[in-house]
Amino acid sequence: MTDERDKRENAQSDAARPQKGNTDVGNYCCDDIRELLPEYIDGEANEEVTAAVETHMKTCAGCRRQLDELLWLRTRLSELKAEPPSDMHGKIMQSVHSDANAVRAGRRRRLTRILAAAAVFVLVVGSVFTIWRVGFLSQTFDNFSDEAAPGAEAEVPGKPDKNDFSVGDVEDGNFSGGAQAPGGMAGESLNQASPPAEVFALYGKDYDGGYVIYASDSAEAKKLAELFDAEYNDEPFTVQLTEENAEVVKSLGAQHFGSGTGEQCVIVYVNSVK
Amino acid sequence: MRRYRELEDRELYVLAGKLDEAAFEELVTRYESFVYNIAFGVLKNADDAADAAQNAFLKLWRSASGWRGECEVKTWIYRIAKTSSLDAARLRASSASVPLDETIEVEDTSLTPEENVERAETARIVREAIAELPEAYREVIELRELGEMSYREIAEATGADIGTVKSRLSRARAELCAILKKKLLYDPDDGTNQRPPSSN
Repeated sequence: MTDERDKRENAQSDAARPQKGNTDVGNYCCDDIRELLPEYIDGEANEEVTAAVETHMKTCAGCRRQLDELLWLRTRLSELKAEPPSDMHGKIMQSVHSDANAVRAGRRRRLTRILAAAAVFVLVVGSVFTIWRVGFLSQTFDNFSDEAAPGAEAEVPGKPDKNDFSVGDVEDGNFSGGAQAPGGMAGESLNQASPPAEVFALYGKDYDGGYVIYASDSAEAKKLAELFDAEYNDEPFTVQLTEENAEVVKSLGAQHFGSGTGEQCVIVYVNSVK
Repeated sequence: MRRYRELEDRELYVLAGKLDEAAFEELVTRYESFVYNIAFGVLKNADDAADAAQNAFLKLWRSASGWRGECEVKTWIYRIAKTSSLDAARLRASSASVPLDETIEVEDTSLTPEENVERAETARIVREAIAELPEAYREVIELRELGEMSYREIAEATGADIGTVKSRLSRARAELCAILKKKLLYDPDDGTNQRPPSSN
């Protein structure tokens, strides 16, 4: 209903305007002017309409009365404007301030949670990296052991013993603990060996203790093989750490490292292998 | 130093979206009367209108961060004010604990007590007359006379084109005049100038 009336009155309003190009304010009739009065009093009329209305008002009492009526109505409507209570502004800003504080606190809580999560993430990643690195080093040591001691029956993951040892570099940057045997080679046939044999502790799944002895040359390795009653074929060899062999190792002045009940061994390398 | 008074509504509202309370306060200063009168027009009660206006501004504040600038801020304020007022009216109607027509007019200290009473009575009659208008006409009258919106702003707020806004305003005024001529009692000797001129 209102829409149909809108369309009809839109057409009337358009018709009230003079044809394009006709800017003669005298061409507006009373109906035209009354259609344009709302725009005029609302300050929405362009210069042409404003001039037309004001010119027409000078001579048309009827339209002037119509304008007075609209202005009277405007005055009555403006009197409807009520001033808000004096404390309303303060109450609004108080509620806004409280809400802003709540939002800020929420953001701080979220930020704290994010930071905490990030810290946990860093710790987890760091831990995983550390574990991985330790595993990598162990694997490296295993590889070193496997490659250097083909006679070994199983892989021998090792770790350096801190007792009386300093960290040494053995082969191509691969890590292992190493030190000279306390007292050097004590056996008579090996007293001349130079440099003295080096002893490495072994730890692992199958070998949780023992020795690695480096012979300075093949001749020394051969003598060691004889001491351990083992065969020497110009290659590193491994012998079980029997009580008898333990005595031999002890006579060499080497110190036993590691503990536990697992199998223990002695691996003899020659320095050329090293 | 930034002066909030020099900023456009849009700039202030964007700042409010970043929790700038001072920027929002400038918007409150500009539109508190507008929002209050929109609420008063719906609720016809000063306390309820103040509460509704406060809620409307809180909603306005909370929606600032998500505002995408699809309309003028003033239009957005009007929509929120109208919605908050209608919500409050519905809530009040459901509780029915508060009288619906308890209007409190603000006294003008420049007038005598008698003049203030007369003015309040006239305002009541005008409000009743507006209430008799169809919703579409009532809305444009509110936006134009209370909100002092331009035709373009009214068109944006109502979703109508400017031509429709003009015709609705014209029609609304004509109907209002007709109603008020019937309702208002005129005294030729009355100097309050409330009497409408008789039309031909």
